[in-house]
Amino acid sequence: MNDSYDALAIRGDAKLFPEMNMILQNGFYLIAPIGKSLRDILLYWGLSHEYIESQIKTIFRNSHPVDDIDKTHLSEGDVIGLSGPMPGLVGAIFRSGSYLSPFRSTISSLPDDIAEVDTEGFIQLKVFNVVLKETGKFFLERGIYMKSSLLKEFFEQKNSSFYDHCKAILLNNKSVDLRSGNLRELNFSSDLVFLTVNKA
Amino acid sequence: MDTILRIDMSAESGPSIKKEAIGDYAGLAGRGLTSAVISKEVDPLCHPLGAENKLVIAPGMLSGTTAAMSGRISVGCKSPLTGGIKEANAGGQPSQVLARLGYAAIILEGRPLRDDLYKIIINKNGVKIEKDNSLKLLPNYDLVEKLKTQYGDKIAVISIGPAGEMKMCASSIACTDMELRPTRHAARGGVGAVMGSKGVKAIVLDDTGMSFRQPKDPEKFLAANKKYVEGLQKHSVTGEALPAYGTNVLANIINEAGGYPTNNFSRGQFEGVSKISGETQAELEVKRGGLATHGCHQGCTIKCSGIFNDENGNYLTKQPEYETVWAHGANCGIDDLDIIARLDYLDDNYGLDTIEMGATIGVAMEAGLAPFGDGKGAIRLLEEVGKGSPLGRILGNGAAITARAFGLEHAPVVKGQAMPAYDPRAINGIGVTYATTPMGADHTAGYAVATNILQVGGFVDPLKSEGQMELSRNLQIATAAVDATGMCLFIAFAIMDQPETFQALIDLINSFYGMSLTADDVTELGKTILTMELDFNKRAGFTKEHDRLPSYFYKESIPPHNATFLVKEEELDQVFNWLT
Repeated sequence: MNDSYDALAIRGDAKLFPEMNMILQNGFYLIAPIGKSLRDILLYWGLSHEYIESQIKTIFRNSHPVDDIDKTHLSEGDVIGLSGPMPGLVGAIFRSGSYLSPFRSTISSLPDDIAEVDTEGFIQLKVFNVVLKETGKFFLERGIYMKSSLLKEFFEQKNSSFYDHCKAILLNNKSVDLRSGNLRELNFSSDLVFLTVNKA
Repeated sequence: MDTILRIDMSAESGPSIKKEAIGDYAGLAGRGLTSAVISKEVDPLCHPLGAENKLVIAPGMLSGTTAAMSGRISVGCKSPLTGGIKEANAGGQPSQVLARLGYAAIILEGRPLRDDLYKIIINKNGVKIEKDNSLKLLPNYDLVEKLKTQYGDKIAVISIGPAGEMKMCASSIACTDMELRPTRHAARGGVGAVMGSKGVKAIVLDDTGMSFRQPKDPEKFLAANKKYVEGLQKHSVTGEALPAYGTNVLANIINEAGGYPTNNFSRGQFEGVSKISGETQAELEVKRGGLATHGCHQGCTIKCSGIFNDENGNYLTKQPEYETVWAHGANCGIDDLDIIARLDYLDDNYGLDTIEMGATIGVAMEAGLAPFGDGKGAIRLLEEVGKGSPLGRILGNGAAITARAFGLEHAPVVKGQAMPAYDPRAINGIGVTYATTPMGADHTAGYAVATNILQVGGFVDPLKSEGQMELSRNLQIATAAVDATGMCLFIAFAIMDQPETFQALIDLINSFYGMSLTADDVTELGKTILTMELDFNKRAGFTKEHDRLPSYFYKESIPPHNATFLVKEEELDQVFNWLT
């Protein structure tokens, strides 16, 4: 893994988080021990047992719905999607361990025998709906990796009301003023950027 | 609610009114009543726009009471889109109001002899039918505004827009919401065209002076309602996800699963989904001073609807639903919520089914009428429908006819009705319902689930392939039963997960009517309704060959799973096995 990533730190008031949360549904990257079970990795990332059991009810691995997070082991580059329980027949079909899972049996994730290896790698995580609302701030505060192209597109769409909530934006510890729409200051040198958002 | 109001539009001297006791239809309501009337009284071989067809409008069993979630109204007829039996239902206020006025159903019969347009006014003093050609071709919003000036703002309105007057097969029947806007639609199957063929533009309902329907056992009813509401509020779908994000909360999920039909069902994932997701929509609505949490009818505790304002903070439309955002969004390659909201408004105003129109515009785009992703092009095509131009008349008659007119194989329809927002190649089980429901491709037909309903009659092994058929059968039965109660189908999640909430629903019905229904009885009701519907379709000429998806769903795979529809025809033929 390449250790040199740009670091973007945003500090602002509490109203910043609901807007920043929106970028998380596109997916962000976290480092994880490869070959561990999905449950172990969610715990590694800091989610609690109770939260995993009570709130994360719809789970995808590489677009395949997951029914057993203990028998699903992750490889580097996997894409995980986490959501609360969903409405509708189809929402019920995709629920983890659903009685209606036969309706999507042709695409369900099957238990695997991926071996645990003594290395770490990037896993892409997407969080949706209630999970986004409840964990977005947690992940943003501890830091995540995001595609620089996504970040640039995100900032391009923001207007003054967003920047009014920002107290400081630092790129590689240097202050950046995006208020004037000066996106040239956001010149990322890496494909992934380490992003943190904290309350000022 | 023991009176049926029959209005014969054919009478030489003008429409005639007859009120009669509910009689043989006693015990039926909502979809149970509409399907019973259509299957008994309508010749299955009649022309859907002819005098022999009937339009039945029926509130549910618990509509007009203080029971939560009881505001759905059912509309039934022979469908001009599918040629089979149709029940479409809507939220909004009319069900509550019509039930409190004491009517189990309004049945429109016959066809006017001349090209006049009528409005029907129903209040505690009785029923009046008035010729009013000044309403011709008024879009629904303008129509409701005009009716408000005449009848006040305590009314509820059932109406058709210009699409219904032009008898287009994608036309809907609008029902006003709590803000008296025509935003809730009985949309599927061209029910608007049947109302148009009867010459009825609007039904104005006013229950001023009427009270809530009273239960036989008020104490038990109150207790059951309390438990029922508690169950809905504590469930994370009905208590959190739906109120916060609305039905469009599904967009990210179905997309992640690879089942989100994109560019006329050519792919299962849409790159722009995060721009049109429920999460993004809710955030935008709140930012613009709209609402992300809003109920469509009095008594709704889930409040999955919302208000979508434009960038200046002015009302644009009600929060577009998952199906609408998909149909006008991903299915047309459009990733702009403002464009989608504008299309939703036009659908509501012209009186059109958003699913059918989104599927149709997707077909039109594949035919080259506009590029995929061209939001302004999509608006232009929808405006053609509103104008009734030759192109508009093709488009306004749905995806199947549009595909035929432009020589395309890719019409994602079953029994002539466009598929909703789940690709059956990724989710084979939903394809079973699309194929077999008597309604045509319909995602709500096999919707309701309750664990004890599913396990009535024995346990089904879901790992066996016949398990999917059994599940689809049971789901369709349960849905038919829920549709008869007038309850919003979103109660299904709470009653699926919480047996005590399902029991509370049964207790509500029992305490209101003084009955002793069990879960078996509810199942039996659902089966009865489906049997009537299947029988009608059989007499209308439908065979098992109609219970199929278009052949390209078996042959053409879609990314990301490279999946096709794998369920065998002989398996589909087993879904309604109690009939063979």
